[in-house]
This record gives sequence, structure tokens and C-alpha cells, in this order.
Amino acid sequence: MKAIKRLGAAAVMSCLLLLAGCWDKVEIEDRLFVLAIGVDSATEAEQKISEDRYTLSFVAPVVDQIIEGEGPTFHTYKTVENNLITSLTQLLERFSKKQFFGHTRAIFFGEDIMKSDKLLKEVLDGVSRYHELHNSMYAYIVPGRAEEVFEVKPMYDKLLAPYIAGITENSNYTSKAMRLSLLDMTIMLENQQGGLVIPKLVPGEKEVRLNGAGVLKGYKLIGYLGDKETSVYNWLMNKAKGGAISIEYNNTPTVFRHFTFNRKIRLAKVEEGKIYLNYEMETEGSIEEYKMGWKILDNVLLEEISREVEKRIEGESEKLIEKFQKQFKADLIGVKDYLSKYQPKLYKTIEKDYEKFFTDSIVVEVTANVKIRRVGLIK
Amino acid sequence: MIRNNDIVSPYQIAMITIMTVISVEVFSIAADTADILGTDGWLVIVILGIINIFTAMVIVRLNSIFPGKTIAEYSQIIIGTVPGKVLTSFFAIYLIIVIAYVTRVFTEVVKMFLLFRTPTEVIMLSLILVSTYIVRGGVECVARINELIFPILFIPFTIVMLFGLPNMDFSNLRPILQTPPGKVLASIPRMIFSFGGIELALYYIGFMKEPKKAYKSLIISVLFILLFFVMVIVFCIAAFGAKSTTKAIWPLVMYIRGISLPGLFIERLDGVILSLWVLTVFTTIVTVFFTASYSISKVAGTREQKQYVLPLVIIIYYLALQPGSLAELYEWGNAIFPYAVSAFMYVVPVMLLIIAGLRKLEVKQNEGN
Amino acid sequence: MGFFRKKEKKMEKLIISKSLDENMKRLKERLKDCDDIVYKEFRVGVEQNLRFLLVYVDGMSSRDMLNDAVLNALMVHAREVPPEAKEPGEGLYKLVRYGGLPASELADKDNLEDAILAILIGDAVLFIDTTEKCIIIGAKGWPMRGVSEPNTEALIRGPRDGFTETFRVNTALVRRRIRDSRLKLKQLRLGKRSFTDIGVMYIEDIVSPELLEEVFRRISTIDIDAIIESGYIEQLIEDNCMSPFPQISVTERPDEVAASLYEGRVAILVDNSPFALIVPTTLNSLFQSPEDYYDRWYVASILRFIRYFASILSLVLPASYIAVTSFHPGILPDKLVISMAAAREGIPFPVVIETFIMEVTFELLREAGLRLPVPIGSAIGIVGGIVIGSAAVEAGIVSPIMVIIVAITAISSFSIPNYSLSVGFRMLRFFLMILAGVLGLYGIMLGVLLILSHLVKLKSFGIPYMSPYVSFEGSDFKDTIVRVPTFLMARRPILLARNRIRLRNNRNLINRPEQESERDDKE
Repeated sequence: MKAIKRLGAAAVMSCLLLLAGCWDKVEIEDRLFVLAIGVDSATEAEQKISEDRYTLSFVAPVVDQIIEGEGPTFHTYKTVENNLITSLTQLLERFSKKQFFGHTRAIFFGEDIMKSDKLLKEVLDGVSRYHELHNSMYAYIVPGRAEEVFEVKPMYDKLLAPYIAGITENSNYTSKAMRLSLLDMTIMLENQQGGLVIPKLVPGEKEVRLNGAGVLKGYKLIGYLGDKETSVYNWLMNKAKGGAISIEYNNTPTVFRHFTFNRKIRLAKVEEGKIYLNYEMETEGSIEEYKMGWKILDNVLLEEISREVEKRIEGESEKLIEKFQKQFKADLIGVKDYLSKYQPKLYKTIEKDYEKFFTDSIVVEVTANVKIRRVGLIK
Repeated sequence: MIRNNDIVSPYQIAMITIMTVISVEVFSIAADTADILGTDGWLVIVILGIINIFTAMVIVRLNSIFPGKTIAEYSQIIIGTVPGKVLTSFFAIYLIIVIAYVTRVFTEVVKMFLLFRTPTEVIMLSLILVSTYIVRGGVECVARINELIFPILFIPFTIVMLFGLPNMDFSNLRPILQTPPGKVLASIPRMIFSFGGIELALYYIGFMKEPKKAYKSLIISVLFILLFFVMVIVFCIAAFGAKSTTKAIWPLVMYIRGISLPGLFIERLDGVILSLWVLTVFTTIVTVFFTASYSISKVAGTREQKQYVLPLVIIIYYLALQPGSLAELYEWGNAIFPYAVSAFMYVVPVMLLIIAGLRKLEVKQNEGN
Repeated sequence: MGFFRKKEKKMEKLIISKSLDENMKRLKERLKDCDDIVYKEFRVGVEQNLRFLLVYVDGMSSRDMLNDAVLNALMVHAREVPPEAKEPGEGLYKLVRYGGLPASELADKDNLEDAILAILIGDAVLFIDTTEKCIIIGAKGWPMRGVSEPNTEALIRGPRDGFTETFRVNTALVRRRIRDSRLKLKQLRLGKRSFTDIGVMYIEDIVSPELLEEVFRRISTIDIDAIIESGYIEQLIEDNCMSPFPQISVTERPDEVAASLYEGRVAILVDNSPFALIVPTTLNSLFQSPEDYYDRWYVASILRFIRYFASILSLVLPASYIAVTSFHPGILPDKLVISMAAAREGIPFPVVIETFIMEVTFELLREAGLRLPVPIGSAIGIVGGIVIGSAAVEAGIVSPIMVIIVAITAISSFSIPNYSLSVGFRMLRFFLMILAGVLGLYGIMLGVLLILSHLVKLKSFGIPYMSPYVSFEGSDFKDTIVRVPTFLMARRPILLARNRIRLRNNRNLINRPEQESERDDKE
């Protein structure tokens, strides 16, 4: 009897709990799955009141149009607000659905945000603090305004964000594309005191292109890397996986396609207050294209081609390193990372005025080691 | 009716220790250690682990002087009835604070990642009430639930942790061992609470048939905890680097959030793992809760501990609601636990052992009970 | 049978009188209005001066047997060979008892009460004039079902015989599998009116004495008018009547009973019920099927794993669906989440209600199908399939994904081998669904914790219900989710059995003879 009474009491209690309950329940169809966010600084025309600083654009799929239906498969929503979180929540005032950021795949930063360190810092803090956003989403810089990306109606995909994420994930196959998650972005900004290389996304009419990268220093955009430079940057940062390097051999363009690309840094010597580093690059791949009628399955020939490729890698790399040292004056090529991790004592001595030291007293030499393993189907 | 035998096996002692020590501090341990020692954060845990192996040995030694007795009973023999009861009461108060703290921290984590708008009270009270059900079952049930939950928790958890390997860059752990030894030693007191929970063995070994067998179990469990903590710290630092690890409140949760399993039914694992983490918090609460109510029953001189469980719920609930914010909560934790843990884990057992040695209290086989 | 607390009869003891008429009168008085009782009075002897009375219940005693062994023997054969004892009384009685009745089962009673009980049980009672005793003739012979394959526990491999409603047949079926003098069968009668035969079976040197004592103690506390099925006893002696988990396992298979006895368990057989009770039971043993031991070990292990997986699925799948869709859609891949949202578009009910509607419908269908005769039952299945499967989806009341969830849940719950366990899981499934509806995944975890706590607290006759997962003991783990090869299962379960060695590992003997195999190759 006692047990039954206790059971009854428990039942009553749980009923009370239930009647008051379901605080967090939001039906799945009531959610607006925001798949990508774009951040711009508000133009004067957009400002309703002078405090408005951000223009946020969201893209969310129209779920019932995806499987079947003729209408647009995604909608774009735009808000102008004073800060990030209020703009995230502002949609609630305007739409019946509750936006949900658990599936956000990409965040686009407009050029103007990147040019203002104050705005950028605030946005990044807001984004990494917000519990719904996963910081594994990809981050991009958009030349011009980020909202332009949302006007793209992708020709080959139904949804915009998976389309862009898919392009980014192709970076496994091409070294020209670069991928950067929001987490990596914040870590890098943190470690480099505001230095960052962020992939550039160029919106077009019916497609976007992942093309080049933006370079930040002190939380400010200071320039862009071109298409090829991004590729070289990936080599330098040991981020390249697959890709193709085109060279000219015997007046014929040919292509070296690599599947692995490894970079190692080695301290060569310290002399007269200068640090000599050696970037050793090692890559394996195949020659995929040459000229009809030519036999390239020949050790000597392949040796020569690989020398050519090596020369190319070394030349391009050194050019880019010089660009970082002289033009950007920012160590975004992993020197500091290497020194602090592997040469902590040496690093301590130069830590204070590191930026100046980097531009003046670090000498980087690149040596490449190319191995051509295969030549395709014909000799 | 075949009665509960109230016997804890050596294996169960190990499980109890592991499941008690590993609770909410795992979420923040990587940030705490990285904050103090940067990439060498794991070092302090290793040193503490080695120290705690000796602590464990002291505890078992003390308990094997009084087989079949818990600290609440033999402290009265060693230092006299009234001082013993006072000591036990302090112990009980400390344990109640621990439960309140653990409950509250966990509630904050749940609120942040799982249930954003559910009232704190509901999350907290439901967890404590569920735990009372098992605490009322006595020591046997407490031991068994620890034993049962251990594989349910750690097998999936370890697998999930390994899924994060692609996110890691182990060069982030460098430079290794560049911290001056003085700084490492100075950091030990700040992390002392991370192993808090071993002192509960003072109680649970009292329920063993042969306390001497606890040596092996306790040492193994300390080593397990040590490895687990080091794994968590190493993984977090490898994934984020020491600098960013420090920035996160709960780096472990960040780490799990970073894992994605494309192509499966479940892509993100944070929700699943955090729900699984309820298990370990639950076992911690249950184990501590039992000792708290048991201590009170020994102070009051009653045979059963059941009747104290529900009144304690109210006290714990009240205490857990006291910190106004997360910052205040952690402030309280940092103010209380380093001292309380070192007092109850190191000072009390050592003092009792010394006094018992001075008073020449011999091993009394099967006396009492 | 000292443990069987005999209630003092309020009625005065009826003693058999010397006069047959008096006995008949008393019997008829006691068995008044019992029209199925046959009083056959007959005379024996050359002079036809010896009066006999045979009493039995029509239909419960074998008429052929009585004709052959009693009437024929006494009335026909005895006439040809005149009995030596001319005197009625003790002499005649002895002659009849030891020389006159060619029946195998005879007993003496001098108490009319016992005689009546014997009659009601199905034996025949023979009264002889001038004797103060009666002879009980074991003539039970009611119509009974033959030994057939158990419906509820069909196996692919294994013996096809199952228990019947007849106690004696059942004990024999078990005895055939344990030809050991140490197999004990203690019989007692329970039920103040039904006088049902109960048999407690155990193997003396394997079972632990505490367990046995506990079983007898619990049975002895039963004070009930009638026991119609073994379920009565199960519910009267189980540890926790509030638990959704069965603490006593029930089986129709004699091979399972025998295997359990060899493990040191105790079986309780009840007359009129083809279901034997086995105590103690653990959760692990409810997931086992006798077939696991007949099949090869990895087959058994895979099946076990599937069963455990299915039971977890049947417990948490609908609840997880609720939690994930309405609380944490973030853990699903984006493509899945979008298609789920698209499928739910336009559904009027929240997911919780939707799930409840579907689960309840399914439970209704299952119950309806169960009670109906087989041909109509399958019709219900078709109707249900159409109703749940397409009409509800077409009408936009439930989403297609919900149908998949319900279907998977149903399939999973069918793969739990034990019926009462699967019913318990069904109940808990609803409990978890409610919790998931309130607190999402956290609620499910709390529910799971409650269930785990309950399981950990639960004991079956002193054995932890969760053993061997708790009270860790290495060798017992060989028969859990994984069943190791038979040659490795050398020991009986530690908590149950005393005499623990079961077999000797003969692997090395099997694989040793190399010369022979070479010879085989040559041939």
C-alpha cells in the first residue's frame, strides 16, 4: 500500500512537471534552419537609426520546396541592427518561424567589416560566444558586400550554403581553394595578434568562385592573395593536399598533379642575429598531360621535369614569402608558430619585437623535392 | 527475505572512485591547466596523480586498521566520540557542498548546450530527485550503479573522443617541458581539487570484506583518472592550442562540438555526449550523497541513512541555487575546494593515521558490526 | 512437507466407518449436488456377499483403467478364484489391496477427508464393507493435450516438445533431461479450494541452500483459495510487484527448465499450466534463448547482440525522435533535418502528440490482432498497415518519418525474446516519451537513469537483477552479450551454483591427432 501511495505521489508530481513543461520544445517545422550568415557593416542608406552598425543576411531553405515544388528553394532575410545578437534575434519580430543556427555551414564577412578592426572583433566575439553556432562552419571574405553572395541563384545546386560548403571541401583536390573554419579563424587571429589569411569568395550571377584569399593584419584587411598565391600559401602552411602545378617543359605546357604535399620547417642556422630557416617541401604525384607522340615514361626525362617543378615551387614560394615579409609585414606563413613550438628558447629572445625581426632578420630558403610516380595510361 | 549484504567488492571500489572523481571538472580541466602552465598543463595532473597514489595508500592503510568500519565510525575510536562526530559533521557539510556545486555546474552546462529556456530549478531538482532513488537503496546499490554506468559512459565517450583526431594538430602540444619546475610546483595547489573524490574511499572501503584488496583498486583507479584527464587535456590542447583552450569556459564541450560525423544519422555529437555526461554527474552525486547521509546517520547515531536523504535534497537544492551567476559559482568553487579537498583528502587521513599509530590501535579483526 | 503450513481444518475429521452404507451416506452428504461423481457399488465373491464401493469423478478418472484394474479384476477374475479369506474385515482388505487390484498406484487412507480429496483430484477410491480403510487407486485419466511444440517460444533448432497442462507429464519431460538422482522434485498442494499440485524442482548439489530455503519460505506464505495458473504463484512470490520487469522467468520449454536447473536455478511447475517458473531470473537471462546454446557460438553472440540492440531501440527510439526533432535538431545532418522538416510541414500536431497517436494506434492494433482468431488477425494487420502506413500520411496527420519510426520500434520490440519483458519495455517506452517531450535528451537520460537505478536495486530471490553486469565476476561474462564457445563455458554462474565446474576443455584433444589427419589426406 505504501508503495502504491508513493507511486501515486510520484505520478502527481510528474504530471505537475509535465503541465508546466516543454520549455525548450520547438517543433522542427517551426524552425528556420539558417544555413549561412553574411555580415556587413551597415551602409548609411540602411541605417534606420544612427546606432545601426551591422547588416546581417541569412539564408534558409524553404523546406517544402526542396523535395518538390517550383518556387525558390531558399529565402534570404536581411536585418540591420546595432549588434550581432540583436540582429540574430530580430528576425523573431518579423517571422513566424524561429531561426536555428545549429546547421549554419558558412559565414561571410563583407570587405568593409574586415576593414574595421572594432566591428570585426565584436562580430567574432559574438559569433564564438553564441551557443547555437558551431564554430566548425566555414568563414569567407567577400570582396564588396557579403549580402551579394545571397543574391546568387546557384545553377547546379538547390541550396546555396551546401553548394558553397561543397566547393570549400573540394580543397582536398585542388590547392587553389582554401578552407578555414571559424574556429581556425579565431585561433589564428588570437595567435597572430590579428593576422589572418581567409579564403575569398567571389559571387557571380549564377555561381560563386572560391578564388584567392584576403590577408588581415591587426584585425584589418591589408590585401588579397591571388589565385596562384593562395595555392602557394597552402603549400607554405602545409595545408595543401591535392592539386595541380602547371609548368613548361620544352616549350610544352605540362601538368604535375600532386596527391600529397608535405612541408617541413627546419632551422638551418642562426648567424649574426639572423635566423635562417629551411622550408622543405615534399610532394608526390603524376604527370598527366604532355604531348601526343612523346614518351615520357623515361627516368631522365621525369627527373628533368621534376627539377622543373621543384624550381617552380621554390620560386613561387620564395616570391610569396617575400611578399609577406616585405609587403604585408606579417608573419602568416608559420614562422612564429614553428619557432615558438620547436625553438622556444630562441623564440624567447626575439619575442619582444617580433614583427620587425620577421621582416628584417628571418631568411627563408625553400627546397622542394618532387617525386613523379606515374604518368597516366600511355607511355 | 535475503537481505542486502552491504558489501562492496574491490572492483566496485575502483569504479566508485573513478566515477566520483571524474565529474564536472573534466569540462574545464583543460582550460584550467592550460591557463596555469600552457602546453605543459598535463604535467601538473601527472604530478598530482602520483601524489594521489600515495594518498590512496594512506587511505587504505588507515581503513585496514579498522576493517568493516568507515571513517565515520573509526574516527570516533581514534580521536574520541565527540571529536570524531565533529569531524564527521564537517565531512558531511563538505560533501553536501560538493553535491550542490556539482549539480549547479552541470545545470549550467546543460542550460548552455541542451535546454536553454528550461528553468534551472527543474533541471537541478529532477537530477537530485532521481539520485535520491538510488541513495535510499543503500551502499550496495550505489556501488552497483557505479559499476554499471562505467562502461556505458566510457566506451562511447572514448570512441567519440577519437573521432576528433582529424581536428587535432599535435604540434600544438609543443614546446614540451619548457616550464620552470618552480612554476609547476606552485601550480599544484590550484589543481588539487581535480582529484577530489578519492577521499570517499575512506567511507567505501569500510564496506569491504578485505580492505587490503583496495590497494590495487585505488591505485588502478587513480591511474585511470590520471590517464583520462591527461587525454582530455592533450586532446583539447592539440585541437585548439593552449592559448585558445584557455579562452573557453568548457574546452571539452568545445572539442566535442567540433566533431562531426558526415554521412551518419548523427552528425554532431555534442548533444549526445552531454546527455551521456549526465551519467557521470549522476554517479558523482549519488556516491557523495550516500556518504553525506551516511555521515549524518552516524553522527545522529541511527542505524539507517534513508530518512536523511529527502531532507538533504532541500538543503542541497537551496545551496545550489545560491550562486547568482556562473562567475560567482566558479569563484565559490575556487574559494572552497582547494582547501576543503586538501583538508579531507590529505590532512585528515594522515592525521588519523598518525594518531592511530601513536595510540597503537591494532588491527581488530571482525570487531563490531 | 513441514514447510507447508497446514491450516487447521475447522470441520471435524471424518473417519471411515465400518459400514459401507454409512460411508456412502457421508460421502453423498459431503459431495451433495456433485452430480459428476460416480458411485459404483458392486458385490464380489462366489456368494456375492462382499460389498464394494468405487467412487470417482466422471471424466477425471480413466474408465478403462478402472474397468480393467478394479471391476474386471474383482468382479470377474475374483469370482473364478474364490478368495481364501472368507471373513470380511482386515483379511479381505489386505487381500484386495495386495492381491486383487492389478493397478500400479495404490494407497491406503483411513480418513474420509483425504479420500474425498483423492476423488476430486481424479483418483478412484474403493471402499470395502466392514473395513475402516479405503484404497486409493491412481486412476487419473482426464482428457489432455498431447505434448506439442510451444507456440510462444518457437525455435529453429532445438527440441520440439513443450509442457502441457498436466503436471505429471511436465515433471516427466524435465526428468527425461536430468537422469540424476540429485534432481529433486518436492511436491505440494496449494490453494485451499483448488488443491493445485505444485512441484519445486532443483538439483540438490548445484542449487544454493539459501535460495532453496527462500523459495520454500516464499511458497509457504501463500494462502489463497485457488491457483489456476502459474502466474498466480509468480505474482505472489516475486520480489517487487511494482517493477515493470519480470523477476521470474516463465517458459514452456522443458529444455530451458532443465538448462536452468543445471545452472543452479529452481523451477516451479504448476498443475494446469504449461508454463513453468524459473527463479531467480536476471535481465541477462531474459535475453537468452535456449537456442543460443544449440547454435554455434558466434551465431548466438550475433543474435544476442541484435536482441540487446533491438531492446534498446524499442525503448528509446520514439523518445529520441521526439527529443531530436523538437529539442535538438542540431545533432542531425543538415540534409536529413531539412527533409524531416519538409515531411512535417503541414502536420497539425506537435511531434509528441504525433508519436503518441502512432504508438497508441500500434498498441491497439497489436492487442486487437492478438485476441482475434488467426485469419481475422491477419486482416487486422492489413487494415492497420493501410491505416497507419498510408492513409494517415496521405491525410497529413502524421509524417512519413513517424511511420518509419513506429515500424522500427515495433520490429525491435518483437525481437525481445521474453514476452513479459517486452511488455515492460513497452510501458517504459511511453514513460521515456513523456520525459523526452518535457526535457529532451536530458529527460531521456534521466529516464534511463531511473530505469537503471531501478534495475540495480531490483533483486530476484537475492540475486541482483543486473548480474553479471553488476557484481562483476569474470567467468560469468562469458554468457552475456557475447556467448563464448561452449568449451570455454566451464563454470556455472557464480552467484547461483555451488558445484561450479561444468565441463573440461577438450579443445586440445580435438585438434591433436595429426597423424590421423595425414592419413585422411592420403585416402
